[in-house]
Amino acid sequence: MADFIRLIVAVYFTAGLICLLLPGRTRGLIWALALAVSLAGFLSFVLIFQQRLSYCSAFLLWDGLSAVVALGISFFGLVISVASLSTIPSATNQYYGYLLWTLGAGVAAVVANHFLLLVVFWGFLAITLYLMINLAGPQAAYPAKKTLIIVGGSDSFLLLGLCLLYVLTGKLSFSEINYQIHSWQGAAAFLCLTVAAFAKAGAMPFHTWIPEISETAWVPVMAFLPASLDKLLGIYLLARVCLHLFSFHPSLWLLLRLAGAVTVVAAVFMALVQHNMKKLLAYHAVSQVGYMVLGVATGTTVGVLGGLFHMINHAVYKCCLFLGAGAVERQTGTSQLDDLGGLARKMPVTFVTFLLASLAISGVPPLNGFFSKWMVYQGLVEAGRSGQTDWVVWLVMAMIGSALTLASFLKIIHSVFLGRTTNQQVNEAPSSLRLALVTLALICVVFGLFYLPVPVSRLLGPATGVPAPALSLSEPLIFIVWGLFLGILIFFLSLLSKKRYAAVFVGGEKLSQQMHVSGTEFYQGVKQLPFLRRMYAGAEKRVFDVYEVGKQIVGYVTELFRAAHSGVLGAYLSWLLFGLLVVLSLFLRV
Amino acid sequence: MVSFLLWLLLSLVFFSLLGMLSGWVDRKITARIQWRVGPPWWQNFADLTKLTAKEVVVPVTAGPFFFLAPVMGVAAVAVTGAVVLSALSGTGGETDVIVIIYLLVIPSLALILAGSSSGNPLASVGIARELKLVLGYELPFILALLVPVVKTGTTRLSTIFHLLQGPAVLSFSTIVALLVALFALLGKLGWVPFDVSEAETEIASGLLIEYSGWLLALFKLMKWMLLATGITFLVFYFLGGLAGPLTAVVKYIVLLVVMVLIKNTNPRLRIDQAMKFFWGWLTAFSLTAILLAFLGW
Repeated sequence: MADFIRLIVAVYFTAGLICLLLPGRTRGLIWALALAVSLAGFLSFVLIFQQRLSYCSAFLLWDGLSAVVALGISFFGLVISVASLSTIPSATNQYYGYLLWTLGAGVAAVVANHFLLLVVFWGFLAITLYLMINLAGPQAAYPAKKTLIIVGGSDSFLLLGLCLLYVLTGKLSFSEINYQIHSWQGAAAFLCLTVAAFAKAGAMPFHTWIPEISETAWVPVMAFLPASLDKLLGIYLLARVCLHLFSFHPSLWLLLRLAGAVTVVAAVFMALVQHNMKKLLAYHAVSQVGYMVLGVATGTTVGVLGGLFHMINHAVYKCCLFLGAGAVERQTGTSQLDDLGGLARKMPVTFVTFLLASLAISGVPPLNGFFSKWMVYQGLVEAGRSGQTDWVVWLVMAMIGSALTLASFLKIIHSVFLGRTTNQQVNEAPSSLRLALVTLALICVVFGLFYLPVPVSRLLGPATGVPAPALSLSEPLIFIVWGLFLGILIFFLSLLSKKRYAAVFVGGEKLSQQMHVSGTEFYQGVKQLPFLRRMYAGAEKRVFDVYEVGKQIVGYVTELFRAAHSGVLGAYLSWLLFGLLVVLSLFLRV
Repeated sequence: MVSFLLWLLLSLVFFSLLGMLSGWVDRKITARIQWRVGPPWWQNFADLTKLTAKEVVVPVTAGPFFFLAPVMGVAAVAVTGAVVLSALSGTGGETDVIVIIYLLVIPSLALILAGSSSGNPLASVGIARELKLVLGYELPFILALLVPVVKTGTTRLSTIFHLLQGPAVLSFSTIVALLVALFALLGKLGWVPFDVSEAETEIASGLLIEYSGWLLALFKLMKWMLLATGITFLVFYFLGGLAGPLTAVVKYIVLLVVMVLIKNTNPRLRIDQAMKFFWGWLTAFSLTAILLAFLGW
């Protein structure tokens, strides 16, 4: 089996290289190659997954957790390969080459047992991320640089953390270590690894690269990397670190829970006031990480299962949402909420899939997002049963975050698909994109209605290593299904009734273009509330941006050193003399 | 499976009837406060029948959600009612309060999608207000509903229904939480002082401006059912309604009358005032209730 996995990784890399070497004109050929390789990769992982094997050598580690993440990576690789041909404007060869390399490096990082292997492929992923963002042209240069500095910077934390761990334990592979933290070095190693996982997944405070790249990077790149793949990888690392690598004191759990809950709420408040569809989605890509971190940080079986389930769910619906946004942008030429409206009739498939994914991310039952959030909440309540009292705070923050998510997605739905209709001619998205959208939306429904038999037991059961606890929500679920059934019945009966069509009524006045109420103004009132006003002002000045803060600190430090470089020869000579005296006095003392 | 359908239909019928009667109580008391006589008890049934017989006028800009949204709202409230009823009957399984919280958002969601798909600018103003209102009341509502969870250590509905009886009901924290939840329910119903999203006198029913005929009837029915389901849930969740059928009815009527009195003695709040009220005072009250619950009061 180890040989087989190595073969898949090698095929990904070779095919990527071939794509890069082929000339950019041969779009069809490159697409066919990428599609064939990603399909073969996905099918082989399905095959391996079904055997339910586990394998462990010096370099490779294949257990339930890496199996499900590797399966997810190959699946999203396939979906994005299908969807991207019609959405990327140019540079097909580079795009697909980087895509396949990302897949290979992602799979390799997930199955790595040796620290060195992980660090190498993790670093490689940061480079392909940078390259893929950079494809969008010169306007993407700054966001790409920022991403490389944040994600690449976090890689050094990864290296530092693993080195510390090596010093502490003397071992170099995941499977051999279960370190009990009882010293500050251990805690530092844990925090370093957490930073790397957070930066990859986009949890606060290392999230700022995702909103930054959202407006300029290509939409399939957004749907592939920050929305699905980086979440899988980041949460994989977090789960590996928290569940297998360390066992530690509850106070560190508390820190993780705090980070998770703050990420949920703060990012969703930023999402509420955005004017650009892609940027709004990007803030949600940050906010949803909070649930995953919270789930893993509950430390209970239900909670961890919920966190991992949410990771998969998020990858599915956020991929669908970004691709939907890409379809809208492709067909209308804009992603500004102010300029869109009434697309539901012109792009029905995009609308329905986007709506389903929006309801799923907002946790409306019976879609998949509801069940994973519910499991995270159950995990928190269960943690509370063992005597802690902090769970109430996290529970409330997570639940209010869910309401805020719904609110901001209704803003998109209203501004883009419903509301006023624009007169311009718009066609439905191309069929390859529609195929991807429909597949992802269907998964949202299936993973919701059959959440217990399909994703929780089959996919994630082996990942946590314990049998799924009693998580029966079957009763409300059956009620909802019957309710849906009755509702649809009434709806179709209602279509038979007599109707009269008339113009919109605005109190007897004539409807004019000025009367259009855009969704972008919905939450101006929220921005004016006393405490939030200050937070929003701070966010606009980028006070909470780790990149800007880091830049200022680095600038301050270099400023200190710069002061010494006055350019006066006398000053330099006296410094030399001073140094000489210090060295001499040291020698003389010895 | 079929027994579930029967539960659902039972919930639909029971809460419709109870809701319409409660709506009548509301109208009667309102009339008496305003020195009028008020309608007879069957007035709401008559209104509903009349609406279903009327012609439906559809705006040309409307999409399919214009028809789907009212059905979705009614179905969601019926499901909520069925979940509460089955938990009461003791067959409730693992159903918990988090499901109720999420299900109770769907009626507002239906109203918003309905207004949005009508394409009317006045409805858009209504949506903007309704959305902010949802954000406002959801925070204190969640906090208030967590008080019994803190007290009992479980989120399971049937357990909470059974555990919170007798002396536990009369605790200080439960009463504060109940009051907060009542205000949140007023917000969910869009009753004065939180009726900004419909505000007949300024935006002509806002969200519902384009609705007529049986579609409007469905939304009216949804509001009545929400009233009945909401109060029933609160009676059993906070006030130990399982103690006896007679006391449960008395508790239901008391809560209903309190809500009607609040409705009739207050002016409409602006949306920013409503949000400050929910995120300020009510949140502070519900946080206090949770602290008290942790202290065992």
